[in-house]
Amino acid sequence: MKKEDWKDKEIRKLLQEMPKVTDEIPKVILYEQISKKLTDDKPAKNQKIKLIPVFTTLVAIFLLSVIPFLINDRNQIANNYALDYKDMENTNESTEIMISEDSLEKSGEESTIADYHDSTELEMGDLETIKDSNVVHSVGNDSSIVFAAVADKQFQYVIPVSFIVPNKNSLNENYKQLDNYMKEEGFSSEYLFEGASYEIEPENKEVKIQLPTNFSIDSSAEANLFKDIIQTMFSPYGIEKAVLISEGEEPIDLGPIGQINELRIQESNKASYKLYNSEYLVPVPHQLENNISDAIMEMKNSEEAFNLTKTIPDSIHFSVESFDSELDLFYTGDSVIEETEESITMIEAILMTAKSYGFETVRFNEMGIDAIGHYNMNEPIQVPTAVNPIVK
Amino acid sequence: MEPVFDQFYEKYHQDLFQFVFYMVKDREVTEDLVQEIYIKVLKSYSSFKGESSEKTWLFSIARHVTFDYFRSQKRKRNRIMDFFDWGEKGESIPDQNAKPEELAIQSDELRRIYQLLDKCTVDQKSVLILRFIQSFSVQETAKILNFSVSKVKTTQHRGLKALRKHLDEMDQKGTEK
Repeated sequence: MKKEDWKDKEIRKLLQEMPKVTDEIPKVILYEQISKKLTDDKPAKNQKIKLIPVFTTLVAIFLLSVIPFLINDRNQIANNYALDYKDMENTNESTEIMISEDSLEKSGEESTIADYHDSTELEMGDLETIKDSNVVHSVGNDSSIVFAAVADKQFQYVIPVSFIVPNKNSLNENYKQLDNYMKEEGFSSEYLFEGASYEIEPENKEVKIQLPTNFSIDSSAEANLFKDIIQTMFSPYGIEKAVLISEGEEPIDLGPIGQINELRIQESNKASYKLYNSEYLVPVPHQLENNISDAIMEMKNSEEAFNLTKTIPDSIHFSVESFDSELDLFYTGDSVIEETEESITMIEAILMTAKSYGFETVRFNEMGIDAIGHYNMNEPIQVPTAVNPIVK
Repeated sequence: MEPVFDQFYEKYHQDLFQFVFYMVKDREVTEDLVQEIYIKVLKSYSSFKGESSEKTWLFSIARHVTFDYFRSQKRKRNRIMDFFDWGEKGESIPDQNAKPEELAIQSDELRRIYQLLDKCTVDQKSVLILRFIQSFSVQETAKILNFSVSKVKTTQHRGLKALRKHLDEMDQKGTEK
């Protein structure tokens, strides 16, 4: 039948008349096929866990056999041993993190976290590269994360840091150690809340912050950072309000913000992550109206005056799409992406940027490389739990 | 049998199968994707928070799995084209997985609509299938595709317009012959 003009109504009607399509496979057979696939998945994961201690043992045996042959050069031995021992320590740390990720997946909480551990080669890659990682995806039951934050030298940006501590004490007990952790890492002058004590009440979504008597805000830059630091420290626990308690009778004076008794904490701020002093990933905040494409573009700009370096090199270009809670990046640049420290930093900075925009996973498409560090480029990658980890 | 599987199968299986089939138009691929969808459902049901209905949750998983399939096909096609470097000719390489139509449709008009669905974008095709073949409401479609209600309406309008344009073109060619 030919028509001069098709009308929407007719097309709708035809669509509604399309034939029904039914599955001819019986329910029981379908269930068997699904069950088989589900059980086929499991042994592979158990094998992966066993491979890690085997690899560690092999490294140890290799070192023990190599050291005597190097005995002619004492300095060389000393240097090598120090380096190798450091690597072994790192290997052990990464082992703990990986096993915990796998057990998390088993519990069914995060199926995608372990998705990028799909091959043995990648796990070997994990062991070599995780020490360079600026993020943490999860910690085991024997560890907790103490979220903290310091200011940069010029009081412009918040540097989030995540202390990974043994899970011996309660969260509030861990926060009592925060002054010590900061001193040990040489952060004293950048940590604005030295001498403060914290009482987190997760059930009320509230944190009480007792500030020391000598607490003062010396500049408007510090005052602006005050709120951002509290937000960075406590929003990961789902805290929505900070109650500020001063030892004196007066409310806290935040200079330009004025005197306040409490602060509302937002879930997260939109930001582009850049590298501070070549060491820490730092969120550079955005306006609310910015979108993720703007954020990815912004990551290509360094801010030398503030020691912030771009995290996406000039030669790398992406087109950006999003599907629900997944961010999809399509590589459109001409240069070949290689597995370098710079690439790992880029991936992790993008993951953190995506997280700040509310995405849960990021998929890198058309990258021309199967894996960068322990990130599988063929699977969606879960956004991290924490940034700038420091293992205590 | 896992109660979660049983529950979803009884309530939605044939609808789910039909949706995936119309999206990919290949029975074998549909069977594989449907299995993958159930595996995801079984793995993540414990984290289903009930913020959406079970139905829209299931179909949003189906949408993800189907879109992933399209992306993997696109990557495969790009690799083949890169390999041969056929330039403009590469654009006309037929889909490597193209198969004879698996759905026997008697009516000429319906068969044309079925073919022309592939001329729409994936978003338009998803909206048209959900809205008219599956008879989902605008709200349900919005939740499944994570669109706003107005975006569903706009995409639906554009999808119908694309079909109309191609139907008119086909008619035009027919008349010229």
